[in-house]
Amino acid sequence: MKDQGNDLLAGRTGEGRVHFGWWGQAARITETGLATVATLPAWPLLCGAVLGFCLCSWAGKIVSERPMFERFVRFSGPISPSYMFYPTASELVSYVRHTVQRNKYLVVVGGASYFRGAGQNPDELWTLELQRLLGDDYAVVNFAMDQAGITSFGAVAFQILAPEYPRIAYVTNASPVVVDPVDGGEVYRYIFWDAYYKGLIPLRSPWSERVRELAMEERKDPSGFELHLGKWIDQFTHACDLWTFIGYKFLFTVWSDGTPDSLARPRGLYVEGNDPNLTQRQRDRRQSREYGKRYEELNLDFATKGFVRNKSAVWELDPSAFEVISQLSRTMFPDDLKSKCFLVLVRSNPYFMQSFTADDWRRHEVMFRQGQLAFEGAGYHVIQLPDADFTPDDYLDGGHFMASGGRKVAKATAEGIKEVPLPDHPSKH
Amino acid sequence: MKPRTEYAPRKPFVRVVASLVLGLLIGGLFHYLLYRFSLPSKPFIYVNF
Repeated sequence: MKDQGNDLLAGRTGEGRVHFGWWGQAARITETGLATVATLPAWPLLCGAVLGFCLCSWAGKIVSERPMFERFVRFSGPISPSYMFYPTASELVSYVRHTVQRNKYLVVVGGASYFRGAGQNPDELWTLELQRLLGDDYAVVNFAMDQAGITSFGAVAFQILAPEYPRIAYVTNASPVVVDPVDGGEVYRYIFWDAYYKGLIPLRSPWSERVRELAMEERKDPSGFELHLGKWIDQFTHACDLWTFIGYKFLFTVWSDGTPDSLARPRGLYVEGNDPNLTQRQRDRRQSREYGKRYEELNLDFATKGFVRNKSAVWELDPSAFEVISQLSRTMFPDDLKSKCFLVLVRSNPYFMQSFTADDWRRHEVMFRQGQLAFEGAGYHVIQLPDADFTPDDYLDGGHFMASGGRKVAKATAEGIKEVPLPDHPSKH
Repeated sequence: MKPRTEYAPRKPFVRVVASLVLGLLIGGLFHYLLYRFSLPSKPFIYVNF
């Protein structure tokens, strides 16, 4: 007996291929199409391909200068890299250029999920409170992104916009014992190099030398080389600008596990709603023994950073650790921008620090003070969020703030920003 | 006279335009592929501590 598969495989005769059923139909149509294409003249095809590519590149350049985001409050799942949506540096700054006047005091909020407001609903976001406290002369833009560091994501937009907005501040969450690389680190470095190769970031010496050194180091690694080559090409093609814009406005073309039922839906159509279960989630976290145990251990370990045990096995401050922090942090931003950076040292939820002894608390406090001195020594402003000001109810989990905690962060941040004297003259733009 | 193939459009102008349009699509596709190649093969997974 001869089945259809065998027919297709053995269907060649002296007069041509023999086809059966749907597969045969498809093969015939394909054959007809290919034969038609084969008869087309080559030069128009080649010219068309070049023209099509150039038109797309030109379109990418055009859309990169237009504001892409609509009704933007903060980055949420569908418009973030965790859902395969990678906004470009141009798209971030275009949004600000079209929504914030040059005479405003621009406050770019960066950092991680703490400042993205992961424990707050969109309408109770801490940056809305910050905007309210600062007043109409200020414009607050929340570009924080989950797991982003001090120099990641929003920091790139800040560096690009700094020459255009004479009154500008960059506010980010920070840890007293963590310093980030110039390009923001593994996950979000794409946006820094996107801006770098497109010439968007002003390169000031000696900071620029560190940037070039880092670029050379990263290009030695295959994945780093691929990233740098891709971003170098993108400065001419603007492929990322165009197709991200299309994905936001018209049709998204990349599979994401987060949106399996609406794969092609434009990402701009997703509007983040309120989560009514935040209080329940807070309870769940507290009731989870595993989570509590893990967080207690993390916090205890964290309280040893910057300390060494002496001969009597007692923890002592290691001044060299904070000297290293200070030295490394000098390379995070160009010198002239450091005084515009406000590093807010966020602390953990005291609910998960119940096993702390008096000595742990003492070290914890000393660490935050030393971290402040280290960063201030490098030229940054530091804002503390004292433990005494926060209660366990201000937190969703081990570190993310609920609305009440967000309001306290906003108050401390607004006071910190207003303490610094403003530049004399607003922008003439 | 050279026999015309079964699939070839009759008018040369139509063939040129069809070729150009196909070229435009190929150029756009190549441009799109550059975008796709820039995306990581594995999605970034956010770990919430």
